[in-house]
Amino acid sequence: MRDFDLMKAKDMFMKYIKWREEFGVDAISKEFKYEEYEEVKKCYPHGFHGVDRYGGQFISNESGWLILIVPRYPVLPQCFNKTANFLVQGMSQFSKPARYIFMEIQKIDSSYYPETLHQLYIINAGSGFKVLWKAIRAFLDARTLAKIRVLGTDYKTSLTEAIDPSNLPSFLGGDCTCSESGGCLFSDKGPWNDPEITEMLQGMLYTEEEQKDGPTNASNENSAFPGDTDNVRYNDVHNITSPTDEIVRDSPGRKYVDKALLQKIQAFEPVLEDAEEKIRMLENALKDTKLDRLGLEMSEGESPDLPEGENDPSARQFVANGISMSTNEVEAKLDEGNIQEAESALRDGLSLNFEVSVKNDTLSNYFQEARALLGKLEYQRGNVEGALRVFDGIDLQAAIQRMQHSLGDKQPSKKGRSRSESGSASVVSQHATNLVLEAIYLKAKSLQKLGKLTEAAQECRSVLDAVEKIFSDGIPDVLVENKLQETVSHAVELLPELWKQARCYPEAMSAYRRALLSQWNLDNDCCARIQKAFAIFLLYSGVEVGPPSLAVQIDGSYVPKNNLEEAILLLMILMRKFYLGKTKWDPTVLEHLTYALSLCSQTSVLAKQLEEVMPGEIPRIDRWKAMALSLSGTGQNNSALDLLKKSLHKHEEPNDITSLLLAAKICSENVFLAAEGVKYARNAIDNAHGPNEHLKGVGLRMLGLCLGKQAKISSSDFERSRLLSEALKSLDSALALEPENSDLMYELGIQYAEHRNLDAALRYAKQYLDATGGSMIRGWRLLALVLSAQQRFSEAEVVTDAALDETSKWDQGPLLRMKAKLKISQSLHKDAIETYRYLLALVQAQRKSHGPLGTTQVEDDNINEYEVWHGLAQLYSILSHWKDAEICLEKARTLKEYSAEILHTEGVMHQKQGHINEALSAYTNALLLEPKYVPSKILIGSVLSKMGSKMLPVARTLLSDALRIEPTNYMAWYHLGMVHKDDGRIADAVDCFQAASMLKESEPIESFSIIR
Amino acid sequence: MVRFLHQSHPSHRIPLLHLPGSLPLPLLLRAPRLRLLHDSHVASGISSLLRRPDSGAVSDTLCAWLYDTFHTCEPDLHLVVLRFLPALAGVYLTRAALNKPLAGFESVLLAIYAHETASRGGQAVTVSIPDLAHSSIYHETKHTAKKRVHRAPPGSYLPSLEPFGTVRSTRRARIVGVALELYYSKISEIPVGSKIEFCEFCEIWSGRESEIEGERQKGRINLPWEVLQPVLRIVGHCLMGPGKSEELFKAAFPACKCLHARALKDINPKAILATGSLLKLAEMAGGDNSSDVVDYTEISMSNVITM
Repeated sequence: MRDFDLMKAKDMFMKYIKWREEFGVDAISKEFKYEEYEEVKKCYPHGFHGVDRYGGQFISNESGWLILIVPRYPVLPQCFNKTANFLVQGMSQFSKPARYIFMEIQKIDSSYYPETLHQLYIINAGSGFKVLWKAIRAFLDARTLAKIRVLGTDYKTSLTEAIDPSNLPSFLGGDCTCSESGGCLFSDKGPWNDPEITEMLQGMLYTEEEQKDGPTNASNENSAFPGDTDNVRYNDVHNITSPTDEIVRDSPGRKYVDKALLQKIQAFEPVLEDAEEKIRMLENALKDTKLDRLGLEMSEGESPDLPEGENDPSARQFVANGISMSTNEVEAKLDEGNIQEAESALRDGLSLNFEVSVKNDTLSNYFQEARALLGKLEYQRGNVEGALRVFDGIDLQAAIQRMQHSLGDKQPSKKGRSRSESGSASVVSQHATNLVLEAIYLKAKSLQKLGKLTEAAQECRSVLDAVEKIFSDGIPDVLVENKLQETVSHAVELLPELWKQARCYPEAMSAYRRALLSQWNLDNDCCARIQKAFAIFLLYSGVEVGPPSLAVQIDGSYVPKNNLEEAILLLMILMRKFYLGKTKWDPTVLEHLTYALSLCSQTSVLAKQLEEVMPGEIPRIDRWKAMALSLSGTGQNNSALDLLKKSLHKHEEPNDITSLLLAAKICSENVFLAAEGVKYARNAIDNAHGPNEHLKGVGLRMLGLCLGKQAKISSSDFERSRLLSEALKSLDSALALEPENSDLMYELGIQYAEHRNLDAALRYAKQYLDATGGSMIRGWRLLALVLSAQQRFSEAEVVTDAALDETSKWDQGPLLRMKAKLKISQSLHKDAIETYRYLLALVQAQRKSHGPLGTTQVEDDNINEYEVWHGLAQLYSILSHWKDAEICLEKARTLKEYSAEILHTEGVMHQKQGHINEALSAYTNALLLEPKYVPSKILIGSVLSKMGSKMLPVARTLLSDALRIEPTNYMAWYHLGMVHKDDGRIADAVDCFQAASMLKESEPIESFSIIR
Repeated sequence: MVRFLHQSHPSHRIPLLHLPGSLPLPLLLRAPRLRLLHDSHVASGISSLLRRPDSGAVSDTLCAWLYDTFHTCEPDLHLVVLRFLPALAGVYLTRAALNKPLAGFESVLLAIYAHETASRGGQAVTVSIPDLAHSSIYHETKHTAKKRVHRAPPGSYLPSLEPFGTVRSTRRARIVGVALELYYSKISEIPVGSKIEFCEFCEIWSGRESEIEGERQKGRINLPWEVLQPVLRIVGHCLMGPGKSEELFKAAFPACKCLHARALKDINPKAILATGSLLKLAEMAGGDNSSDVVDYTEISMSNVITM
């Protein structure tokens, strides 16, 4: 046989021979004493009884649910009893060891007694078996499976087809009662008890053995009839074992018996031990039913691969208790709207009335379970309305109570009752509860599909409420039925979605929190999905319901105060899960986090997050760019520029316009980087085409700014003016491209002002102020400064006052300082002092209240107290109020200990009082503190120039140095002119004086560069 | 500059304006509140009144009505006013530079600002970033033993507020920003039409070049962070918020694009990051059309129904 695969057949035959030898199988029939027979029979009534219509033996047990027919091979009843006993016990207490034994038997059966099993009928099977049957099937090969028939209540017809009624015991629907030997089970009726037949059989066996013992014979046989080995044997055996066979031969083989006997007794011992071992295993297995039931149910879920043919995968079917039934009948009933009938059809078909339920609870359980299954069927058919009708009858509360009850039972079991008993009850009860919970869950899904979202949410919530009631201490990690956990996870995930879809946002919020703060035993992916969905909801819904309740707050742990914090927390947790490998990388999480952190100006945190992203998840250039933006967003421009240089490297993306523009912008703020910035800006302009054409203007703007900055440190006049005019040209063309861009007006105003082209500067300053509707303080300040440079002090003051009107008090500092300086310029010293006093009060109030956080437009240029005291000191010094000036300087010194400005002002005061040496030492000290402090350089120069002709070259060097740093400083020009004059270079002196006077006439009260 | 001396609006005064092809405004305004909020016809009528060239003056009765309505302190009526905030703020900000009297608009904005100042107690809203090395309500770490948690100083999210009686021009952005912040906090209750209107203004504010007419649309405004931040929150909601509306998404996506382009022009790193991320997310969300999105809450469908 073996599907006529010759090699397989040969291989098998050899194995068979080997096995028979090793285990002394042949000895069993002769020497095996089945001593436990009576015992086993008591516990498990069974017996061989008669033959079937084709001459096979059959064995049956008392309850008659198992009938084996073994027609073709001379296996003696005892041996088979043992096997059957294993089989039956193993199956009734189906545990892992038992399953192992079963498989062993199965192996022996199908490998070494091939085709021995003719037909196995399983009738009257209890639900226990039915549950197990499905699992058992997984271990049987298809051929064997085909021989096993599970019969329903109408088994009699099938049986009498196979077995003559005279041989069939009465309890199986036959005519035989075996009244003379105490009932069919004990009669051991059958041809094997006929001495003649037995003898013939034994004889035949030895003949057969003889043949096989001869090595040449055996190999000849195998090689001579390779294709027919099996058939030959089959025919022989069949003829011999057939009780209807008339031929009785006296076998010559008997003479070997004694010798063989001895060998075989010895050989049998290990087999016996093995058998005992297996019985012990079985006993252990008995104790462990609970766990195994669980394992079984899991395998149920995992291995739906039922044999083909029997289960057409395209047809819907119910599978329960190892029985499958097509859903057609039930579906038809449902389509008629007859739920009751569908239900009873289902119950009949699946024999849902199984013993565990009976033990557990009332009839309503089956009702509920059947309903649950029906509903699921309807749901899967897509008939959600129908599903809802079916689900309506399900009582969740009863299920909860049942479950609580069974869990309550479980607690004391640790001390008193045996663990397995209550454990299995609890598993069964979990199972039943899950059916109900799943039904309610599907009800929620059905309602969702019908758009009844609020109702759906309520149903879904009741699932979670129920689970919380049942497991008041959170869901345990183990002991939870797989399916139950699945339902719980589904419901946890669905509930917030339903509230969200129903637009009940506060409910959604608390559902999310409930999902994440309670113990649901969710797996990583599910938890991550909910966290992400919640973070998105928090970020974008605009629904703020306040922080999580105090109940969930644990000591010392971080509790987010608002949506943004909560969203950021969740997203950061997700990011951590990614790099710990707990969940799969999801690029959208990083995008959401980028959005969230940018919104609250926490881009330095973002930079850190970007740094931690695993390599390969985002392209490195994208990472560098995003990090550069993040760092630049928090003012860490140097690090940002380093990253940009990496991404702008010629092997990376040297022409990326965003990087180029950002790099140019960073460079434009630093005189020493300006030249580099010019390159970036030019490159950006070159790349501003196609979809980036709109960025040409900003490229030109950056170029203008960088050139302007570069001009400031230019060493030659020629170079400087060239750079400045280029800068202006660049800004002008930018403005032509973006006439509405007010920033350009401002930049142009500043550039022209620094170029002392005051008319142009004034024009742009006004334009800027108009374009911004006066909303930018720097616009007001620029206008006032330009006016002051034009020496139009009163107008400047009007502008300053107007600006003060439009500014809230915390932003007024720079304007007030400017106003004071304007007063001084107009020699209104008293007013200036008043203004300073007001400014002082404001600054002090601001310091005390710490001012409002981040409210000022002019944060970088906010007035500090030190500046006010220093300004006042200068003012008093002008007025020659030396005492007051000194007091103010002292105040300033307490705020800033080492200050070139203070030293310089001291020097000025000394100089005015005629203390030249003190003045000089003060100026020198100032320069020691700040080597480039121009005012001190100039005054040292001027003091030295008055010390005689020897000192003139030194003075000239100092003043030239000052002019190199500040080319527009009229004081420096003036004193340099004096030096030239004293040295007799009149023409040079005239040039210098002209420059000085020109500059003085266009000198603003404060440097233009102070506004930014 | 722009001064507004708004003392009182007689609350009984009902504006006598007529909407084109509609009931007179007084009748409309007596309609049930929900109708005011959700009737798109009424809404577009009021919105077009707000956009009229002469709107927003001291004598603007519609502004007066909005002002009075907001002062009723009924949440529903607040919503009605907020529904028109996009149009009002949009027109106001684009006109602020024109030196026109806009006291009518300003009165409404100030009312909203004052409401928000009072409800926040003038306090700033800060965001402190969690340190994941320490446990939070949503995660646990082993380092809980550590005593003091040193956290980075909280970043300011929303500034503290001082009461303003008038709109000072340098505070205009702040006032509008606060009003938009309030709009955002109620955005889940605001009709889609209003949000779409807002998205349109985002395009105008960011200086979009009108493709159809080939000419620049007037209305580019300065976008300081105090305005940009709430704008980005609102646009974020329109793109990614719950209760998706195709129509809204279609309006918000180009708005976000314009804002991104503007952020690039301003080289504003925070805005580039925020709008860039939103665009990427929107592209991802728009691409999948929700058909191939896995529904993880669906049970596994199989023909074999097992117990």
